[in-house]
Amino acid sequence: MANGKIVEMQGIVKNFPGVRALDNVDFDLYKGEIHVLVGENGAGKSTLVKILAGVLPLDSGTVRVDGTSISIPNPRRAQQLGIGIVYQESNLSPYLTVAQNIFIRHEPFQMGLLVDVREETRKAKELLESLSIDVDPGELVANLSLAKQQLIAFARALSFNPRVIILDEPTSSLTQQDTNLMFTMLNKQKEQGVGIIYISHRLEELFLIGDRITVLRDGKKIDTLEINKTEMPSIIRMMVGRDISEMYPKEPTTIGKEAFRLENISSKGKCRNINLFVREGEVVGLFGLIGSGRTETMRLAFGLDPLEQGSVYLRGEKINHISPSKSVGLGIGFSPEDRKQEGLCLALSVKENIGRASLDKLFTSGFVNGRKERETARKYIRELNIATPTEDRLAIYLSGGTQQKVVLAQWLCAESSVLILDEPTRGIDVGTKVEIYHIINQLAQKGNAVLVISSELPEIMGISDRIYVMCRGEITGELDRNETSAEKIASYAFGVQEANHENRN
Amino acid sequence: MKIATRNKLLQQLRTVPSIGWILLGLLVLFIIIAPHFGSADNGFNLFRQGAVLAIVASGMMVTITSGGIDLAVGSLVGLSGVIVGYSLKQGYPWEVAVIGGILACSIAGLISGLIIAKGRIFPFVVTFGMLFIARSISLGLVQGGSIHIENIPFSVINEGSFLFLPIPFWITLFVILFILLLMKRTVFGRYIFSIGSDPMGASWMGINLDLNRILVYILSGSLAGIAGVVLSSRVRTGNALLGQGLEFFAIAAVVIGGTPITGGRGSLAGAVLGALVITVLQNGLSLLGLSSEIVSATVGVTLVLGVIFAQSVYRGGLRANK
Repeated sequence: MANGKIVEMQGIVKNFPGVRALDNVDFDLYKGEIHVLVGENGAGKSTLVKILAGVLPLDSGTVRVDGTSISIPNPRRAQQLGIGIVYQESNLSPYLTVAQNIFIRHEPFQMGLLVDVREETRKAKELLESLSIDVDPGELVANLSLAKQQLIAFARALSFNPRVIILDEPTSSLTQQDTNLMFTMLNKQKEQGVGIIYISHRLEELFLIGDRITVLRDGKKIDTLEINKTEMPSIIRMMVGRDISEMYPKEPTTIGKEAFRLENISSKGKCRNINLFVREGEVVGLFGLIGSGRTETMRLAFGLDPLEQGSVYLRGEKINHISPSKSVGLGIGFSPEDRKQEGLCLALSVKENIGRASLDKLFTSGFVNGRKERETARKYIRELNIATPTEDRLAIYLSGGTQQKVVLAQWLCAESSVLILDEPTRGIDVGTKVEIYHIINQLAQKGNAVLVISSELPEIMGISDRIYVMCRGEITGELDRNETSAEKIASYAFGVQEANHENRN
Repeated sequence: MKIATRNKLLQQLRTVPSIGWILLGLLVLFIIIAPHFGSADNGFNLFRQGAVLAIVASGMMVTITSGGIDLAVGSLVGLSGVIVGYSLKQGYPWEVAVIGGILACSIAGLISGLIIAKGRIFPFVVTFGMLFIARSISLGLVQGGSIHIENIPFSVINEGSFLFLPIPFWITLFVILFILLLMKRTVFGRYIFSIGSDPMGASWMGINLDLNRILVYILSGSLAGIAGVVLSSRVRTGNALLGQGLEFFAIAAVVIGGTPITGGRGSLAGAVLGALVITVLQNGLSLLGLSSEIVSATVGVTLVLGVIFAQSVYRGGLRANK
């Protein structure tokens, strides 16, 4: 039985509203193997393992554990089946202690009712020592670093004596030393016959630890391969996979003087030493995986989060005491990633949304002039071809693409000369996407400086004059439009540039 | 060596919730300026008056830690008293009356909990509705007036003493110890912290959210019922309007005691001390002969200042940790 299949998933389909997250995916796991799962953001890796962990229900397909077809309706069932999971973000309770967190849901009891605190502490200590994790079991989790929390979450998963361990990007917050510690623990588990599913963006790690690798792309399984029979470049090609179509109508612009510059911006746990600039008439792409610190950096630069280190310059002049209202006043616009939560007031009409960032400029008297508001809104509805019957339609009734145009109109109305667009086409249909790209082109031609954050490779390559790539909070590459290739950007983004070179040599 | 012991003492003192120092300050102040404040009689009075709020605030601490809130507790205090009075008038023995009053409040809590957990409706809305429903039932039972309680054994709950201390003190102490055990030593307590800090994460750990949320509101309702028994015994009346506004004093006691309103962490000691601060203020200011409007206004101002103080300590504490 040493090489039996513990888990077999067949024909797994999972739909989210408007998206097919998993499309007929097959996946299996043997005893005593480390099966690596890779893919771009949104490829469906986390969705697949969440189905196995009982967090998400599946729409169709079968899951077999030890050859028997079963359903896993909730996390408790997964625990009973011996499936343990360590999530991407720690889900430990910050104001419970390490020992309390490890044994939550399987506490040692005293007289059947009360938790045996002494026994709990002793067992936690024993477990932590056996794993060489140097943490006091009585410490509050809130006082631990993210890396230590991740190790505790791992220890918690092991405390159930699982037969299957799922790790969803476990090393994203770990130092090299902690990563090595985790690898030692994983190999030990593997020798004991535990099956391990390992999701990671650090491709170089996969070759150190993995036995087999499965690549997902856009919810589909591309292939499953033996790790020692494959190479990094071919994995990256399988993950990225797409050709840059004619979707991206890039038009030439005249690039002028520097408009916006970040200098040495650092913030603990978010980003380190970020230097970048955008010139007038230039579209600059900022590429990186989710969690690479792109959004966090721009939030700092716009004043949404307190800027502790580094400075921001607008047309060569330093902005002191940055705050969102100051940035808007100076003509910087920020279109956030989550347009429904942060970019728009869904319960307000199109005209109210368009004028929202420029009420002071439009109505200097302090009273809203209805006619002026209406005319201003109509002007932008025409210019940006916003698909709304009237300017009074509430934003909630508009499609995602139209909403995005309203957000853009909002910043145009505020006379922003620097625009930061965070994932401007996320969840938007292809037709409207092309329209948004046209608007971005027009903005650049008028001499505005545009910075686009995106995790879609073809998009960033298609629309940018220059591209910065971020990985783990740092800028790992700066590329000109003429010298980009998908593989190059991806390898910067996955932080494997050096490893890649070694492979070639 | 001397420095080491001093540091140890300092460390010990730091574990006292900051509200403890406010309470100490108020006690000293009133003993100096208010006549009779320091007398044994008034001390007993403080215990009797503080008992009701301390019991309700302890329950509110659990609810807020779980990420919820229970606005119905004030009107449940009234309901409990009315049911006790009504049952005694019907000729039931006082034990039955007391159990009936508490049980009615437990059921009200169960209903709130079911709607909150199964219906996924904000606790604020559900318990706000329950506030009016419970008060209407009470008003219906007493038909707009109040029921005088003549039962002698029942009034012993308030007047009697055990080991030289009034019985309401012992009831409160029992409740506090019970909740302390519940939060520190039972899985329910653990789950409450987990659910309050991150409900989705808690469910991913395999914790039953619905069941534990329902239990929270049953507990909160039952404690309000106990508080109602204590209060009605003190005033010897079942009145629908007794306990009106108590929910806000309870929330205030919890928050000035250092429990953030957003849930995930909670301080029982802070909540009880917070309840004592409010009681001492009301009692001391009245003894000074101030009119009731001035007493109310002063309590209001102190509460806001207390919350600001508690929050700044909380934020400062967080920063020191990181």
